[in-house]
Amino acid sequence: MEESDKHVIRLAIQGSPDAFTQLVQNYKHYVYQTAVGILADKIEAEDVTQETFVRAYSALSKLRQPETFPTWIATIATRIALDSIRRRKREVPIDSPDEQSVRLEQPVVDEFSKAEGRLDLLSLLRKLSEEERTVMILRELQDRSYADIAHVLDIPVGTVRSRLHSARKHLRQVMNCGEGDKHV
Amino acid sequence: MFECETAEEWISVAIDGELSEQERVAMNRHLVSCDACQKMYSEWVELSQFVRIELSAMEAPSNIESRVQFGLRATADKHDLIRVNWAAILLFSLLSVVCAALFASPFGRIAWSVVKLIGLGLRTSTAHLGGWMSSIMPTSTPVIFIALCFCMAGICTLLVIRIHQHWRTAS
Repeated sequence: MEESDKHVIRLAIQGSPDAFTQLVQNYKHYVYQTAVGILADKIEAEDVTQETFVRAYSALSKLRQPETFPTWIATIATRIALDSIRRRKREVPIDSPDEQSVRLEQPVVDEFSKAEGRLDLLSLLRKLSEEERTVMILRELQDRSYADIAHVLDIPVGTVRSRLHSARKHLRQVMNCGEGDKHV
Repeated sequence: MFECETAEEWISVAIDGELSEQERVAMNRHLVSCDACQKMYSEWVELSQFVRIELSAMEAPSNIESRVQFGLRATADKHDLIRVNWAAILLFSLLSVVCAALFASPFGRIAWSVVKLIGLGLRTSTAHLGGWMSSIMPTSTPVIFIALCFCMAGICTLLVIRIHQHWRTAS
């Protein structure tokens, strides 16, 4: 992390509103990417991003090491996203017709964007379970170790390992099916 | 013997750099002799890179900063309301204690004597109204006095809250 970033974080910890605004500008994409990766839903991800920074503002004075800010805020975003998933499950049971109608309201995007021939990551991520998506994001976006992921999610390291393996296998299968359809 | 099923699991872990030295050596030995697993390894590395690149390319909407500011203001207002409510409760309790202390003090006794005199005067003047007021006046006088103290405490508290709200709006 550059010294200028650490300086902004230190000022924000001391309570400078301008420094915090700068932090929001610097980290909004990263937090949003974490949220959208876990939730696979852009609208919910916006709410989670907002809430992440609001909570971070209250808790910032407790941060001791400025260089840990990116990991710290990513952890907050992850926990809020997971809370959002739990809330969603409580409000709409998994197999109810309501959830199907909620999902249908989402814009339906094919795995392959016909204009560009590119894969749409969100559509692929939606094929994964929430557990698989979460470990995938913590590993691929946040670059956390298995031990760190296990600590954040409060699961054994072996579970992290098997979920990541399952997520990659699942994604690869979906991509292979899509490529097969494309070539037909 | 090292099997492809084991290799498949270990490839995922290897991509993340989490294999032990022993496991890595065993897996590499297998990959050298197994084209299918080599292909899988390459595909999974590409998949990992694809996910990273695509995720990193996503951008937050442009209104996120204003949404955060709105959220911060709403949280500050909520905390302020809680603080004002607690301050009002404390102030009311304090004023009630002060009023009760005044009532018990020499000043309170003087005031109580004055009230008794007023009560006596009222009792005499209301005796002509049938006596029902004269019968309740002595027994209700302390109750009325205490009620007045609490009312004063309440009015002062509400006044302080109003002044605080006005000051917040003005600032």
